[in-house]
Amino acid sequence: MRPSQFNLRVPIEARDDVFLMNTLTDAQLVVSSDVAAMLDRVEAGGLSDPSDEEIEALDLLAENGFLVESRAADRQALDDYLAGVKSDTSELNVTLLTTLQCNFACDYCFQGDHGDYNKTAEKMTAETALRAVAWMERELDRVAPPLLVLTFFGGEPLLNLPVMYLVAERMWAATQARGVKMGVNIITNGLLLSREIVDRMAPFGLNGIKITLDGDRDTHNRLRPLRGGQGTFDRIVHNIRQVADRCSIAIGGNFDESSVDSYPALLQFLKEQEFGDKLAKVNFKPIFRAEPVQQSGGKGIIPLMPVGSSAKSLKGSCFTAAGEGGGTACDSCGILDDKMTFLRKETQRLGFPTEDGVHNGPCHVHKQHAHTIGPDGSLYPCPGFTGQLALSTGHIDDRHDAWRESARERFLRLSPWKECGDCPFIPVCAGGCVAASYSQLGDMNTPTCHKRSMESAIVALAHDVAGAVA
Amino acid sequence: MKIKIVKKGSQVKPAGICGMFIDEPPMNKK
Repeated sequence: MRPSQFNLRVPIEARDDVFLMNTLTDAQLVVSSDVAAMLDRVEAGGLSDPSDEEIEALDLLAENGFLVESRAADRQALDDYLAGVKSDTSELNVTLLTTLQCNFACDYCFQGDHGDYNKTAEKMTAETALRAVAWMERELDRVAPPLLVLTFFGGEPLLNLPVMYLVAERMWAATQARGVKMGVNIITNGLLLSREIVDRMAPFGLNGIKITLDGDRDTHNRLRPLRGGQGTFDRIVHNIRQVADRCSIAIGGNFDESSVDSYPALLQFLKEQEFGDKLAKVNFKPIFRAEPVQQSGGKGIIPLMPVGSSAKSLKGSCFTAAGEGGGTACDSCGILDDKMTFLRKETQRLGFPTEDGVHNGPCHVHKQHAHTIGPDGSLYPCPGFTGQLALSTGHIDDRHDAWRESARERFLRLSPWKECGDCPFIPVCAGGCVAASYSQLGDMNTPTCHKRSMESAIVALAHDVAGAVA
Repeated sequence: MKIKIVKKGSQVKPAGICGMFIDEPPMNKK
């Protein structure tokens, strides 16, 4: 036996305890330091003549995945787990982009509202929506999942309400007829959100609405203006107040180095609102900017490059450290990772539900039964590739285009974690954001590494857990 | 030698999230 590659260890120094987590089995233990020392002795060559107490402890560690037969067995278990994720049929997950149009003009947005973008941005027609419904019904019958998760996204999805209502209503009927549970999410900028919309969607399995606020009032108004430049913060908050008692609301936010310091004020503001204690999740993430890789047939892809203090992109420098052991990210990534850690702690301190920063993957792109439907009916493995026709993996018409088939096979073969060496975070990361890898290097099999952020997150998780079991 | 099990090992783990684009609201367990 030997310790698993996927063990993480955080000393809880005040108590002479150690938090142990195995990222492959998700087992979490708080042990005395002699147990951790025993693992080190096993690593160094084994225990000679262990006591009954040690044997009992070794058995428990093995049962929970902290001790494995061999390195090869550990890697095989990882491969089996990731293969299981890929073929998982416990849910059909569909993100439907009702339109690529948007009423905001966020400077950082990949879809952008720049120049005449909105004049040409695609909008799903009712006829295409019905074909998307028919495709989802075929998928329900083919995959037979117990759950359909349907997320409306854009552009701004509320700019095409007829399609959102039509698809939700038809899919509710389709899932009810098949005995399948259905949950609907809407990701919106919140400007057009109203009670009427929530009440209209509630009978069709509305699960939650995610709204983006990019910092405190002034900062948000600078980063997320209307096309005419007017601020949007007050209106969005007003709309949240109108619906907060009727559905689950999650708040997201995109920060860069110029805006991150305003987030504590935003958190305090949210805490003081009457809807503050009703928020289902508050989660902030860094803005990444980049010049898109030029590919044939697309409008451009999601920019995911970190920016320096001058707001100029740092090109490909951020991914150079990925590799054996995972390494560390570049300076700019490190700064943003540190800021994300700080904001997560602030979010938790104020009592809002948020992500733990450890369980980050594998994301939808690694799941065979998770799809994004573009406004024209093209299928993509994730919204990060929308508009890149060359990376469309299918079409709601089930048409067989060789290039889509080729893209589909390419995504099915994705395994960026194979470049991550012995990094213990692979089972909860899977090599990071594939769209980021592609937009930076044109190579989606190169990992994007945010190990530094995850290392901070595991320390915070360890202390939370240890505090709870004290 | 103390071992406190906070969470048992399992192959069923929390779903990975897309922090970049989707970041869905948590699914209602009801």
